Order: sequence, then structure tokens, then C-alpha cells
Amino acid sequence: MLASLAVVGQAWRAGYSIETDFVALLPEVGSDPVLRDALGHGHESASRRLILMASDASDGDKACAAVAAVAAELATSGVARDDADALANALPAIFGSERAAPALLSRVDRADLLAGDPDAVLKRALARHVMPFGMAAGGSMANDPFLLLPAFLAEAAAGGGLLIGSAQPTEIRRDDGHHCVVARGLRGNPFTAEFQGTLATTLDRGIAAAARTHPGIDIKASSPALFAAAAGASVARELAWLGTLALAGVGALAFWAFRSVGPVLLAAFAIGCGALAGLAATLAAFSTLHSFTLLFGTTLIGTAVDYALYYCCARLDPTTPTPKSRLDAVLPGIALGLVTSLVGYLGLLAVPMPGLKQIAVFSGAGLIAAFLTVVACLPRLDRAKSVREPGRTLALARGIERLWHGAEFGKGRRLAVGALILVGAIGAFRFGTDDDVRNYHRPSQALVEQDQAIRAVLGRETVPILVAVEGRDGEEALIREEALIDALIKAKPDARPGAILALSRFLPSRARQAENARLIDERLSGAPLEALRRAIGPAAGVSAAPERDRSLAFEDLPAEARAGLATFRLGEADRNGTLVVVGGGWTREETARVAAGLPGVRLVDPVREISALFAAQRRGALAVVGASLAAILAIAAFRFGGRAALRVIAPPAAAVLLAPLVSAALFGPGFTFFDAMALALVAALGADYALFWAETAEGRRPVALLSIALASATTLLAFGLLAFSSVRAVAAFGSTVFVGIVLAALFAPLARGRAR
Amino acid sequence: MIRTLRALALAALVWGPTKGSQAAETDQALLAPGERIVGRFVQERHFANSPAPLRSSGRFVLEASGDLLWRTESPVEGAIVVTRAGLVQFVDGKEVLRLGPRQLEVVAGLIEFLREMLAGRLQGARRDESAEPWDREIVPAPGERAAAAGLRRISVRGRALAEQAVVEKTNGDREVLTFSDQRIGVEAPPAEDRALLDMARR
Repeated sequence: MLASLAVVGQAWRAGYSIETDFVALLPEVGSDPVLRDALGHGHESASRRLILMASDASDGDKACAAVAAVAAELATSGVARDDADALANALPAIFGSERAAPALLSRVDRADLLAGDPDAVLKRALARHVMPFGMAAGGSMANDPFLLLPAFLAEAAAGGGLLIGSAQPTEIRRDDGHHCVVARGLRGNPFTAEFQGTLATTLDRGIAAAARTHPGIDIKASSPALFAAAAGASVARELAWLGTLALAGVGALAFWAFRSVGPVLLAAFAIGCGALAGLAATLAAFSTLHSFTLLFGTTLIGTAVDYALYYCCARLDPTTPTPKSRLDAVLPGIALGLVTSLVGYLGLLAVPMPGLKQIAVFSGAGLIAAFLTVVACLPRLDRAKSVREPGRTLALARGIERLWHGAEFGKGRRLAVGALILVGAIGAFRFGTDDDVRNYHRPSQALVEQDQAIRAVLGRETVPILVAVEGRDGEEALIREEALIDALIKAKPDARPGAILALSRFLPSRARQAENARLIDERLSGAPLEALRRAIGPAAGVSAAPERDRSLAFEDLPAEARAGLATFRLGEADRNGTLVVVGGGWTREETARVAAGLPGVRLVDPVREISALFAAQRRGALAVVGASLAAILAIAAFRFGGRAALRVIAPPAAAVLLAPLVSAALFGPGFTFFDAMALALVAALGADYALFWAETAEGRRPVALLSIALASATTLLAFGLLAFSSVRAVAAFGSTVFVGIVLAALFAPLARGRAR
Repeated sequence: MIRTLRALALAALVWGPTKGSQAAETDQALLAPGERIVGRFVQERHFANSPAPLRSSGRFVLEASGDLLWRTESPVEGAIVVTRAGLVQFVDGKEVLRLGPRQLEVVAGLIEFLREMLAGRLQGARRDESAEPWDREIVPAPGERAAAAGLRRISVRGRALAEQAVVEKTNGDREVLTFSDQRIGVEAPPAEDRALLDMARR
């Protein structure tokens, strides 16, 4: 425990934080580095986005001043970047290049050259030359007399706007008033509780100050971080009242059974030691700690409550008057329970999913520590040296035991079995899975309304469409990307190409650059060049034979430009993929239709991909449940023999099989990864009950039944109450635990039959 | 004193944020709703390595809202429109470039200067109808955005309205803007100008 304290203390000093992002639970997408990077870059980019909008009935400047003030407060506090637009950073670096003019053509210049209309290019070039304070500079005109590079860069810079995070407040006038919108990039992990707290505090402060300075202004904000913060706060509030309820319930139960809360304190001590050891092991093995690891891990360590309760129930047994005799009476059962649980958790380690691995380490280490605490500490802390006779409690236990084995209840048992079969059949009819990550939590209504208001003003989704393009190498990926962009523009000529962000818009493929160079040489170097020189006179010092780089490679770009564009490059070292971000006028369906006919191009749907990963997690968790039941069977066979082992495994197996069906019948369909995790707990506890029952001598059965009843009641109070959570993931876990534990406890006495 | 204040106001507009509340506030304070200033310009661009300037001419419209239309008539037909939403360039009536307020800050910022110069000078005219001829010189300090943009000095002179601005760049290039036929009124601009303004605002 001291070592655990040292590890946790060191991590605390180092400032570790708890991850709350669902996605962090999930494995990376198989062996496909392009898709993995696309999802990662897309998720990273989207989750760090914050959009602020201030609205005033008639004064756009007031709205812009207010939104700028809030943004400034965020920047001053180090919460949000002044400049979320990496591309805007990249452009000056490209501008600053001392190279000869590369063969880069704006879309419109290229189209006219391809169409054989150099006069149109000439006309635009003249317009650029005479633009006030324009693009032309004496030093740059010699090799780029048509100002093709500034035109290319201007086009590349244009259109991103809100899609990529404009640092400048942008006013949008509508019938309902003047709105001013600004996008910011968050400077911390939006899924850590610490950063969420800082963001919320700073944002509240900034909005309050702006509201004081600009009375009547309405300020709204939208960010995945705000949704995550609201969800985290909601879960914390729920856990607080559910926890209070559970604590009160468990205390009352213990007092009823033991006329003392001492056993509960002993159990809490064992759990605390287990949680501390689990935390230390997880922090030592992983760089991050996920909130779901804490939830599920602590839940699974909750098995150890049963160990403590079994021990404490032995106080009721006249044949175990001393702490040592009590421990001797329960040790075989709980030791077997520990071994079977550990086998199950080892199974979690075998599944290639980081979330399950972390839970396995946390639970395994925690359970061992809790077990050792029960075995080593409880007999020393146990001061109840004399046998207590709770009278009615034990009598009730004997009465309950007859429900299973008394001949007078045979008809009732048959009716109960029939009812269970009926409910199970209804459940089987209604059963279905739900891996859609969007259904796992109910977002804050206030934030949803703010997000909808911002979307309505922007006139589009705040989340852009992601497309991954893959080739044999980077060059082929760029060529395919260019084909995609051409096809998108062809499919929707009215949409603004600027809303498409892609690497080739800044750095075309070498093939395209070569073609551009040929077009410039063939179509602009003769008469058009002479016409330009005549039009602008001898002013420009235009070279008769401009020098040009024929191939600009990614590595040729300045470091700042490379850093700005890195987010668009996907894949391993050969960087054979690119990311295209489609915003503005194209819908997902339109983009999908265009992408469908192009090689190496696929839409990246983060929701679908993440949901697929949750489906895989669900299947993995179920496989682990099956494997752990098989392991329990093997251990039971080794301990009790084949036939008896089957009777030992039957109760938890039946609980695991029936729980989803009964749950579907009672609470509706939608079996999730979180239900599967609940089944892992049901399997572990169900096996624990069954093994404890099987290890119990005939004369101690009423006490054993009372132990199981108390253990299951505490589990129901501690975790079954989670069924009432407003967070779907937590509620799913709670409801399945509730049903599963009830069934496991009901079935446990069916494990009898072994001869000791 | 008034001239000093004007110079300070102009300096604040030029070297301040490209788009901000001050700029629009000034515009709106100077022109009543529906008013606009119209005029003509001649622009001469002197390149450091060239003996003769590149000359262009045309007309401009500055709206009370701050929206600016700059139409080049010679040597090529073209237009730029600067609004709060950014800058749009037209050639032959077709949009060829659209920049947000922050994109290509150097170009957009300098054109914003042009707009503010006109609006800022107008403020003086309203206060002092019998204004004496004046001239101003603004030199950006090292580190200021204008200096980073390669500007060395801006000299503006005029009477009721700005009449000439000379912009000197650190690379030796120089730009001379001469304004004429300026007037304030409520008369609507020609339909083709209105169409360009409307297209830019979309």
C-alpha cells in the first residue's frame, strides 16, 4: 500500500489528469495507417475547436467587439489559440520563399490556359498589377510577370474562413440581427477534466465581462470540450446523489443484518486498498488514466466487497467463533473466486483494445490487493470475538433457503421459472445491439441549443466532411486528390472551391506542376508576355525568359509551412495518404457520390468508424466473458470434478445469458459495449456466488445464502442504481448489472450438489 | 490642433487592427445612413528597378457602411470591393478572388488603409468646412504591422478631402494615389456598381 501511495503521489505531483474522451478507450483503426491518421487528425481538429458567437439586434460592431473581448480573455488565459489556422501560418512562409517562381497556378488561371484562353489570364494579371497596394513588387515581377504565384496563394488562402478557424471576428447579418462569429483552437486536451474546468471558468468570466461592457449582447459558444465538460459535470452530480443513496442503503442493510456498520467499514477499507493498488498499477503501466477505467475498474474490484461480507457473515455462524475460524471457513471460496476473476481479467489483457487492457490491469491489481486486505487485515481489525445471534435475520435466511429447496415451494419455483422463460422470450424478440456512439450520452440541452443557433447563422454544419485519399506513394495520393477536387467542383460548380482544404491546394502534385510549367511556357511566353510588357510599360523589368522551379516538393517548403500542412499528410513514413476537408457547399451525400467513382478515395465518417470500434469492443468484451466462464469451468472441474463443475458454472452462465434478454424485455433493446462490460461483472460475481455456495458445508448454507443476499444487495445498491443515470452508457451498465446480479444471486443456490 | 488630432486618428486607423470597431465606428459617425462619397483616382506605381511608373485610373465609391468599391478603368477593366466580410476582386464582372479579412493580411490591410484614409479625412471636412491645405506623414515604428508589411512611410495631403497619398515601401517601390472629383451625396451609384457591391456582400 505504501508503494502504491508513492506511485500515485508521484503521478499526482507530475500533474496527471483523467481522460474523459470515449474515443481514448478505443483501439487505433486496425493496420490502416491512412485511415487511422485521418480519424486522428479529424478528431483532434474537431475536438479542439471552439466557436464563439455574439449577437445584437442592430449593432454588428458591438457584437464583434464583444466576441473579440471573450476571445482575448481566452487567449490571455492561455486557454485558446489566437491563431487556430495553421494554413494561414504557412502562407507567409511560402510567400517568403526566395526561390524562383514555382509552377503553381490558381484554378481559374489553369482552367483558362487549359482552355487555350491566355487573354483571360493576361487580363487578370493586369488587374492584379493595378490593384491598389497590390500583389506586384518590383523584385518579384522579373520571374513571375503574370503574378501567377500571388494569385495561386491568394486562392489557397481564400475560402477557409470559419471552416478552418478564422482568428478575425466575422460579421453575419441576418433578419434576426447582427451576429459576429470567431473560431478558436483550444490549447489543452479538451477531454481532461482539468482543462474543461479551466475553459469553463475562463469562458464564463470572459462572457460576463463582455456582457457588462456591452449590455444587451447575447453570447453563445460551441465546442466538443464544452459538451464533454457538461457531461462530466452531469455524471459527477449523478454519481454524488446515487452514491449517497447507495451508501445510505448499504449502511441500513448492514445495520439490519449485523446491528453494526462495522462490516461495511471493513468492506470499504478493502475496496479502498484495492482501488489504490489498481490506480498505482494503471499509472505505472499506462501514460493516461481514463475515467471509464475508474468506473469499471472500481466496479470490478467491487467483487472484493463480497469477500469482506462473506467474512463478516461468518460472525453469524456459531461454528466460527473466532476471526481465524471465520477466515478459515470462507477462505477456500473467496480464494477460488479470486482465481477465477483474475483469469477473466487476464482475458481482457489478451484483447487488443487499450480500454480493456487498462481496465484489466486496474481490476486485477486492485482485486489482489483487496483480497490480501481481507485475508491479512480483516481478522486483525475484527473485534467481534463472540458469536452474535441476530435471531430473526438468520431465521429469515433459513426461510429464504427453503424457497430453493423446500418441497412446499415447488409449484412457486416452477411458476417463477416459467415467468423467467416468458420474459426471456420477450427479450429475445426485442433484443438488438446499439453501437452508435452518438447514443451513449445525452448532451446538455442548453449547449445543443447554442450549437444549433450557431449552425443556423453559419448556415452549415460546424463539423466538416473528411475524405482520406490513398496512393502507392505521396505523389499518387496527390494526383488522386486533385482528381477528387476537380470532380467535386465539376459536380457543383456554384460551390466555392475555397471551402475545400487539401494539401494539393497548397502543393500540387509534381505531375500537375510539370503540366503547369508546360502550359505557362507554351501559352504565356509568347504574345501574351509581350502584350503584358507593353501594357505595363517598361515598369516591371519583366524578364523575357522568366526562371521557374519546375517541381516544388514538400521538403522544399519552409519549416513553418511544412508544420502548417502536416495535418493533411497521412500514413506511415512514405506518407502515401492525404486528408481532404470538405466544407461549405458540399453535403456528405454529394461528396460520397463523387468519391465513390474515384480510386483510393474514401469518406471518413468518424461516427461510423468509432461506432464500429465500439462494436468490436463489445464483441471483444463478450468474448472475454465467455472465456472467463470457460476458465471458471476448468478451475471448478479441477476442484470439484466434471459434473459438479457444470452445476457450478451453470448459475453464472445462465445469469450472463439471460441478463441481456431480461434487460431488453424490461428496459428496451440496445445492447452496448457497456452492457457487455456489465456482463463481465455479472460473470465474475455470479461465479463468486456459485463457488462460495459450492464451497459451503451443508450446515452453513443459511449463513452462506445470507452472505450472497447481502453481497448482491450491496452490489445492486452500489452499481444497479446506475441504471437511473441520464448518461446512456452508465445507465446501460447499471441496468444490466442490476438484472444480472439479481439473476446470479437467485441462481447461485442451484450450484449445490458437491460432496465436500 | 485639429490637424494633429486628425493625424492621430488616421495613424490609429492605419496602424490599428485591420478590421475593428473603431474603423466602422468612424465611418458611421462621418456619413449619415444612405450617404456615400464618390470620386476618381489615378494610381502610379513606381518600381525600384523601372524608370517609368505603371499608371492606372478609375473611380471609387465609399458607402456610409464603410464598404468600398474601387473600379479600375484603365489600363484594364476591373474592380475590388472591400466590405467587413473581406475583399472581393472582379474582372469583367466576374469574381476572381475573395479574401476574408484576415487572409493575405498585407494586401487587405493596405486596402483597408485606403478606405480609412478617405473616411478619416472626411471627418475633418465635416468639422471644418473651410479647412486649410494640410499634409501628414506617417512612419511606422519597427515591429508594427505596417512595417512588417514593408511600408516605410505614408504621406497624405489634401484640403477638405484627401487629395494625394504617397506610399513608400522598404524595397524601393513607391505608389502615388491622386484623388479628384470627390463629393458626398445620397445619389445611388450606377447599377453595375451596385451589382458589384451586392455580389461582394453575399
